[in-house]
Amino acid sequence: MGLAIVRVLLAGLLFGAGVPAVFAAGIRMWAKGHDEVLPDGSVRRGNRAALAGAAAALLVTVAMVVVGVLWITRKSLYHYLGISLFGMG
Amino acid sequence: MDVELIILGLVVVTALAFDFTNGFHDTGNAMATSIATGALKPKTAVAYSAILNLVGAFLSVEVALTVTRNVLNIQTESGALVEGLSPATAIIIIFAGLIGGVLWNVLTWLLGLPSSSSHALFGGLIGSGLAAMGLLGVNWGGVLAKIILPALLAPPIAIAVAFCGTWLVYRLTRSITDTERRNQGFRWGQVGTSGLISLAHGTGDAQKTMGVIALALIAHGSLSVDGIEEGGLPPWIIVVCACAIALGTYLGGWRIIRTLGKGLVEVEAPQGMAAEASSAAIILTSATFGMALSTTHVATGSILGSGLGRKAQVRWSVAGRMAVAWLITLPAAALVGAVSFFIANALPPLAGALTIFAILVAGCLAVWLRSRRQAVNAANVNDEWDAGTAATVETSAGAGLDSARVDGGDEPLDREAAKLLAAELLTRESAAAGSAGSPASSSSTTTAG
Repeated sequence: MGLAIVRVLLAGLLFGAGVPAVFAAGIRMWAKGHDEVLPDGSVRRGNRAALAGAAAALLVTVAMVVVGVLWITRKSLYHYLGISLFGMG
Repeated sequence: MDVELIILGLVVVTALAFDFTNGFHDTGNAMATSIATGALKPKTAVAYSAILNLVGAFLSVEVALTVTRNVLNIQTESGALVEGLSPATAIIIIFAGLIGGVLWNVLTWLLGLPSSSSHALFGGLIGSGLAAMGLLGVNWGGVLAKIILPALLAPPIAIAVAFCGTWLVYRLTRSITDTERRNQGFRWGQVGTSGLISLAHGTGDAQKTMGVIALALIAHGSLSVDGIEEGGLPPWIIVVCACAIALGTYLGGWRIIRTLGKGLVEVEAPQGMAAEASSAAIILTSATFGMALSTTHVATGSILGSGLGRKAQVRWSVAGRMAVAWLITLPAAALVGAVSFFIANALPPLAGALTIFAILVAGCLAVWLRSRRQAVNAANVNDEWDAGTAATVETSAGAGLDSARVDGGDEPLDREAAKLLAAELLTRESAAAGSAGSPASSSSTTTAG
């Protein structure tokens, strides 16, 4: 039971806190990547590299959602389509 | 029509009623924070969740045929009834257990409390099993390992994960001055994470009702364990269970959604995304790691943890009421299950079954009528939380967040709850002599306002 608790907690932290953190980093880089009008009226130019980073981070989170869907449906995929994911079958 | 078939029909209808309550009781687990932050409009959110629950339920390929083995000793490993247990008794155990689960679910819904539907079902079954077979009828090891320990562990794990996630999210985005743009991004994140929770809920929870219906059919003799192993469940069971849970989800347990999205803590978009990601991650991985945690306990813990993570004011009185509801879910549902079994067992088979079914209908009706007095729906689910009325809404009230009232505002509702319980017991007595009213499915359909 103790081992199960540790594993659930670690998986939870990795996916449940790690993925939101990647997403948040993406949102931050997204904001940095765009031009911004500062309070004094001047314009801060967006950082292109940050924009690329944002795209990568958002891609990672979208991929994680897709992995989540595949994980939930892994038994059905194996049963109906014979597709073996995550060591099924 | 023979008596056994009528009783079986009542059991199937009651199982579907449970599935339905399971749907609206748990909509909030996936959707409460998305609704609270405006990531999804209330009606859109419940429709989205309902569709994913429907898809999820159809995708279930495993039959939870041995679902009662977690708590009772009425099934062998293969799913057949144990020797020495008469099929008639087994059906009444299942019937009475389901009634305990449904009545507890509608009562907690009335109070706006997110309690675990699985606990309500298992509680009801434990009660009826105890009443029928005594202490030996209950799988006490299973109750401890599969029900009690996970229930104690789920909230702290979810709180810890959501706390870390929320803290990280706010830490990483604190430099963003345009909070509206920031929130818009996180709202999209919420749509993804709440969808995952809904899909997982459909695959996991509809199975339980399918398993219970299959067990009733096995006890009746119209289905055999070998038949299920070879050809799977009869498709009609999958179809009706999937539809019942999706319909329940679509009607939306607005009272519970409100408690989770507005009552426990005020939810912002980044925080809501972190809470939902935490719920999704734990729900999806916990079973694989040997500890199936209740969706409700995880979702509630995550929302609480996310509030702590951004140092928002958590309404501990609301959290406390939830904790009490969680603690008494098992014994309360067990009590109803046991009483239902005793009543059914004391009467001739058909009269007994009709009587407990009438009790179920009367109980659901009483709860629904009471709920009309302070309805919560898609239009007012996001209104400001007023501690004086707790889970229910008083739209005209100057509904500020008066912290002084947060701790003192619980008494009126508890008194109401006591009155309600007393009224329900009275209806039960008077209903005992009456006949069955409208079918449970239609009466409980109306309970989800």
